[in-house]
This record gives sequence, C-alpha cells and structure tokens, in this order.
Amino acid sequence: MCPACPPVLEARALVFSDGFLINATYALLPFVVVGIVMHQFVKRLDRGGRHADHE
Amino acid sequence: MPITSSGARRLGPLVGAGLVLGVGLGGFVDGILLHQILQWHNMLSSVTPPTNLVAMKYNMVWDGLFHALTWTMCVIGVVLLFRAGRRADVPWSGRLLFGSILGGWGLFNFVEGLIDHQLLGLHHVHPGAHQLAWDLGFVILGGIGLMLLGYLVGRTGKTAAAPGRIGSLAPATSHR
Repeated sequence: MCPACPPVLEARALVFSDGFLINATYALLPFVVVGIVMHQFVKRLDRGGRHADHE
Repeated sequence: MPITSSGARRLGPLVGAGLVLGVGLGGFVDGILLHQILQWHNMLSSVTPPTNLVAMKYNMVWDGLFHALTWTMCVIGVVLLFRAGRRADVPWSGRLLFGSILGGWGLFNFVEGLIDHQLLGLHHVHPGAHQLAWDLGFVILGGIGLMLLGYLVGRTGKTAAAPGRIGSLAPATSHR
C-alpha cells in the first residue's frame, strides 16, 4: 500500500466526509462519560477520607 | 494539600491516576487484542462493515483515532501518577494503584459496552451468532467483573499503604 493509492484516498475522504463530526463525537462519548464518573468518584473518595481522618 | 498534623491521607490522587491509566491501558487491550490480533470488530464495523479494502481502511483510520484517545489517557495517567508521587499525603501503594488500574479498565469496558455496543450499535464484540451474549459477557465480565476485582485488590492496598516515599523526602506541597 502507498499513501496516495486510490483505496487509501477514498477511505480518507470517507472518514473526513460529512459524518466525521458525528462519528468523532460517538468515539469520544465513552471517554467523556468515564472521565466524569472518575472525577466524581475521586472527589467523593477524598471527601470521605478527610471526614474519616477528622473523626 | 499539605500533610496535616492529624496525618490526613489522600487516596484520590493515586486512585485517580490508576483509574485514568486503567482506561488508557484497557482501551489498548481492546484495540490491540480485539481489533487487530483477533480482528473480531473495528471501531465502526457495524456501521461500515469491513468487506472491501476501502471499508477496511476506513475502519482502520477510526481504530487509529480510538488508539489516539487511549494513548492520551495513558499520558494523562502518567502525569497524574507523577504528581501523586510527589505528595507526602498520598499513600504509595502498588496494590491500590493496581486495583485502581483494574477498576478503570472495568469502568471503561462497562461504559463502552453500554454506549458503543448497546446504545449506538457502532460495533459488537463478536458479531454474528450469539452477538448479544458476547456483548453482555463483555459488560458483565470485562466491565463489572474487573471493577469488582479492582475494588478487592485496591481495598487490601488501602490499609497496607505506606506514606509517599518521594514526598516524604521533601516538604509537602500542593500540586493541583
């Protein structure tokens, strides 16, 4: 395969067509959800740990 | 936060670093094992099945973008781990870190399984016969199972954790 062969160019054009933004959003979505969940969990963990240390 | 006179310990920085590393490394396991070695699915293989060269290359690009995201998570995880290691109030426990990595891996599988496989139908773990069973198995074993395992491993490290080694050599500083 070569960087400028017809199948490569065609595939690249397909990737960066109108559907790119929606597909990129779909690909990002699990990472965003996981990021929010982890952030909330770590916040709670530290808050709980501090309460436990004061008790 | 500086270490307090009561010896307050913060698990969050180490656990957070482990979780993010788990998401990144777990994503790589998915991409390398299921996408590339076994070739069970690709990122958008249920939307554009890789039945010809152009469709295969199309999926390959999306697999690459997925790997770019998992790589980014690994970099963020390493930075968070480095920052956690410099704090005196963070217990330095391999088991807590390993448990958090397993937890992050399981969380990613769980969320990715629900969103990409069930909700959006971008791809399925093992398309074809018994597709739903494979998807559910992935969410239950690879998601909930790994999170549970991570919790159990992390719990043992939580109690056995030693104070931060690097942080204990220098005055505790805030690295927010």
